[in-house]
Amino acid sequence: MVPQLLFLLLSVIALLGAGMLLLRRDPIDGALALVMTMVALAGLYLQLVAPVIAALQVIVYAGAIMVLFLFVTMFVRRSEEHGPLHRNRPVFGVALLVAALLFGLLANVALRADLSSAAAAGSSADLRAIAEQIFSADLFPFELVSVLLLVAMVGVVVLARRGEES
Amino acid sequence: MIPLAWYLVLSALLFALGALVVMTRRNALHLFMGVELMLNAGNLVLLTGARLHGGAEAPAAMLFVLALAGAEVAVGLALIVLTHRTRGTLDVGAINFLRG
Repeated sequence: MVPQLLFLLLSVIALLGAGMLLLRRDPIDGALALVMTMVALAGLYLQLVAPVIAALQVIVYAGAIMVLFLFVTMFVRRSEEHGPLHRNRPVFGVALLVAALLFGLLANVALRADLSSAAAAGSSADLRAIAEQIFSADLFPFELVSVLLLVAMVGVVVLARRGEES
Repeated sequence: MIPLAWYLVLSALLFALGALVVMTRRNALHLFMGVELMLNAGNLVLLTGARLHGGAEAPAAMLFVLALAGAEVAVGLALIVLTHRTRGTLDVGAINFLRG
């Protein structure tokens, strides 16, 4: 009973954050709502798989990425105080329809899927197993990710310099 | 024991909300946050799969998604700051300097 209640509580918090992101005007509110969603998701990961992944979710997503968002939001916030929140009404209607269809499709797949082998394989992956996976089987993607991060870093520096010149 | 389908339905809901944010909001910052929400929904599916099948493949894939999201956000936010400096707005309807 307790795990179910915890799941419901965490998912309500996550959905609340997503709803606030959709409806609140101020990007700061949106970023903080998204932090709330990500912390709730970390709680769900804790319930689901491994404490390692939950900790990384909090540190990297709620910590690093959203703090970056908050910094940039504080740089650029003031220009967005006027004008409508969303695009015009027909676009919003079509988007709502598309999102509802998307949800229907995904939920349909989720409810039809055969998830019965869950009880057998319920053991969660610890840090050692994840590290062995990354540094043996996934070594090539890992190296690609390091190159990608380098390229992103160089790109950001170039973009920042260009902003200074003009 | 919580049915794993609940997690998948929650993930579908979060993904649809993220897509709605991306499709409707005018502010480029909100667009990026919607993308982040969709990435998180995808991660939830990956970890539900990890619970279903065991093993370390899905958590490792989730860590790759984490790194990709970091790279994407860094470049995207740099573009946002640059756009704000040169155009003075982040309204995605008004940003059209790639138009021929």
